[in-house]
Amino acid sequence: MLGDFAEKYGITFPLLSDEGSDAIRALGLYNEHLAEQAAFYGREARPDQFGVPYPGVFRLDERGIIVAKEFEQSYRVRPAPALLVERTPGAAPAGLAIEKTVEREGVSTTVGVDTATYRPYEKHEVRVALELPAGTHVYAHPVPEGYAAFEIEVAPFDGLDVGAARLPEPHSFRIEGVDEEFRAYVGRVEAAIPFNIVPYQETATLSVEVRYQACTDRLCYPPDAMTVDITLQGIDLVRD
Amino acid sequence: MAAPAMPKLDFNRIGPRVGERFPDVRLSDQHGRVVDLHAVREGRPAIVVFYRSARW
Repeated sequence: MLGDFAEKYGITFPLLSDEGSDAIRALGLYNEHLAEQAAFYGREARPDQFGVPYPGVFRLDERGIIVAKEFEQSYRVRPAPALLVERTPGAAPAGLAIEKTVEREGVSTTVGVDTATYRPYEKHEVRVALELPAGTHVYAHPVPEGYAAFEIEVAPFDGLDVGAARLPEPHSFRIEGVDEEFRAYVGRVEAAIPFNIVPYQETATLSVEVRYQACTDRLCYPPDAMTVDITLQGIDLVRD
Repeated sequence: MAAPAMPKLDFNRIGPRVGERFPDVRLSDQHGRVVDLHAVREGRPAIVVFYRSARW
């Protein structure tokens, strides 16, 4: 059966069969929560479905040591293949399939998504990059009173499952004459939000809001906020 | 009645841990051949994916 599956999808890497789930059990990965997970989706797990592992990915280095481990809470959610591969050293970056750029006061904001299409439950990312001119910074949380921090958000909609925003580590610095430490970003700032969309729809539109306050050594611009809409085409799940 | 919640699982505690050597695994592949996971890597990095099922 794995042979047919491999041939049908052109898979050349090893697919290992663990009939009886002995290896899965020995590894401690037998999914003990299948019934509860199925109940979350309003389903009852069938007897022949028990024995599956928790779905996830281990990354091994050349010595076989586990360097990373990525598992999902839901058995239905999976990383998009390009994003899974991208995190492997030496692999090509996933890139942005759709991107839009807004320029304001010398700050360039690019909002994009790694894909132009989505399948239900497939985890993708909204990626935001700020390009700040020399001498300009934006604040990071925790922000001094009266200032606005760099934040990114995707507007919720029914069926959109959004993960925590990933922001880089900011620099700490002090302004001459001010007895307070600030955390801020300079240069190119890259942030991302993982998401997956649950129902199959022909299209889904992500409304991404980017907020920041740009300052130089001499002045601060008023806090800025922009919304960028990105529309993805839906592709239904593979149903055999 | 409230919808059942998705159980919250701590995968730091489930299965092999980061920093450990991945355990030895010897299973049949799609060609019916027995594959030793560490041997087939041939000293290269690898991604080991636990897939739910090829049937479901």
